[in-house]
Amino acid sequence: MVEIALPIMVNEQIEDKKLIKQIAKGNEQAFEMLYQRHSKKLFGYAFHILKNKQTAEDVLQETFLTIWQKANTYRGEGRVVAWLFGITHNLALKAYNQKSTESIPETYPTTQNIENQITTQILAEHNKHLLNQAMQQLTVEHRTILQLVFYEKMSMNEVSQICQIPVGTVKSRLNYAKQVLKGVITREGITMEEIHE
Amino acid sequence: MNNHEKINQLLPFYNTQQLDQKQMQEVQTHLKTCSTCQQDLEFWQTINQSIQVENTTSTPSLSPEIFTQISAKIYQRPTIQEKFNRFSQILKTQFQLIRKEIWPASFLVLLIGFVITVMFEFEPFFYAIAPLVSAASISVLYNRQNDPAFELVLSTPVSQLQILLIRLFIVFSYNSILVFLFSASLSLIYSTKVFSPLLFEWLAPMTFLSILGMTLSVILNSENAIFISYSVWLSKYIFHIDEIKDLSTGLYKASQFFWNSPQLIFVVSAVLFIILLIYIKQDPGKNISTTKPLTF
Repeated sequence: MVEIALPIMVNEQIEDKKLIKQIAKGNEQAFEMLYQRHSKKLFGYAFHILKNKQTAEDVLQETFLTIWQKANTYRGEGRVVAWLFGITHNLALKAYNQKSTESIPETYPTTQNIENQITTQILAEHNKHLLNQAMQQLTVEHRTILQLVFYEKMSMNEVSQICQIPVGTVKSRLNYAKQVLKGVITREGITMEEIHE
Repeated sequence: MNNHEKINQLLPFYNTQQLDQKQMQEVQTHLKTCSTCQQDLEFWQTINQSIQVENTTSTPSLSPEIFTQISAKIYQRPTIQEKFNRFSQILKTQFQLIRKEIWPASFLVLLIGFVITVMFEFEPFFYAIAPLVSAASISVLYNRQNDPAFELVLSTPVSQLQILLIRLFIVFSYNSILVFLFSASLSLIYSTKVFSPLLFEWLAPMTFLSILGMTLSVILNSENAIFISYSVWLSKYIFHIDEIKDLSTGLYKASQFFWNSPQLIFVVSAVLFIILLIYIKQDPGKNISTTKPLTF
């Protein structure tokens, strides 16, 4: 599987770098091509953080405006997609923090009421749904790392680059997420087999 | 950290095959004998599956008109109101990011200069202090190692140059207002006639040393910028010592000519400013590290 995927990934990287170079020169076609290639993933990532379609689309717009204006600052280090995710990450977290100061939506339980959430909501849910709910108990910083690792298939260094945190912090956040999620599973007396069912 | 802990931390990336070949093999070997890591790998597999399902089912489709909206924004010229709003927003952000100690430090040094000037009735002391305060505070505006502004550069359509100029504008304005007020106070104590000469005495050197400090801090670093700016300013006074004056009459005359010609000082400042603009414009991303974490 790895042997087949690797050349495609390398080609994609070269293509992306070419597109960024063209965008830096003001090439509109290259810009549209980059949008077609990555907009869905970036939107999905922003949506995962914000849980709001409109705000996630606003973030996507800002992301591509930034790419258009800052393509000349891309230094060619690492994959282009990691650079794009870094921009989206910053803008989405900024929007998330603004949103958080305005109001805390019901779907985002605060850490203080985790216990209540677990007893009143999660117990009534299906086991798989319980795990998703448990993930919502994590802070946005921990959830984004899980998203980047498992859904976006980013490497450890890329996660560090996107979130602008040291590699050690990536590891410690993953460890913390593991402890919290395992804690919920253990407390609810659910086995991995039951979740898989 | 022992080998088990090291391998255990790699398991999420082993699960997604994002390790290099050597690491993949190391994990594989360790997994054969470690039941804890086997359980953790199973846990991460579950999390992985759960995230895949959650993302596939819950992510809405992206509206098709978004690209058209982005294109419209790119080609649309911003209105004066939009430009003003953007300027205000950057101004506000940068004001918060500038090192807080600049404000009381500049004020205190000028206050001390003012008090000494009044106590000893020696106005040149104040002339000497004012440009130095400005040069020092502007030299520390730009911290090439850990500057939170770079995060802004990364995530918004604001350039490093814009950020630098806005900071220069904020601090230079603050210093100018301070020196203006102290000069006005001095002129009230002595006579109103003193005000204009006072103003011109510091304005040109303050502009020059500020731009020199900023240029050097961008090209070199803050410490060297302050040292060189102070040395340049000191050269104005050092030639008043007879022994040094006798050593090099030519340099003494050149120094006197330069510091006594406000027009020339402004021209040199303008040249330095152009050099600064070209330097940053040519390599806007030079000091922005996307891989190095930012510390605040």
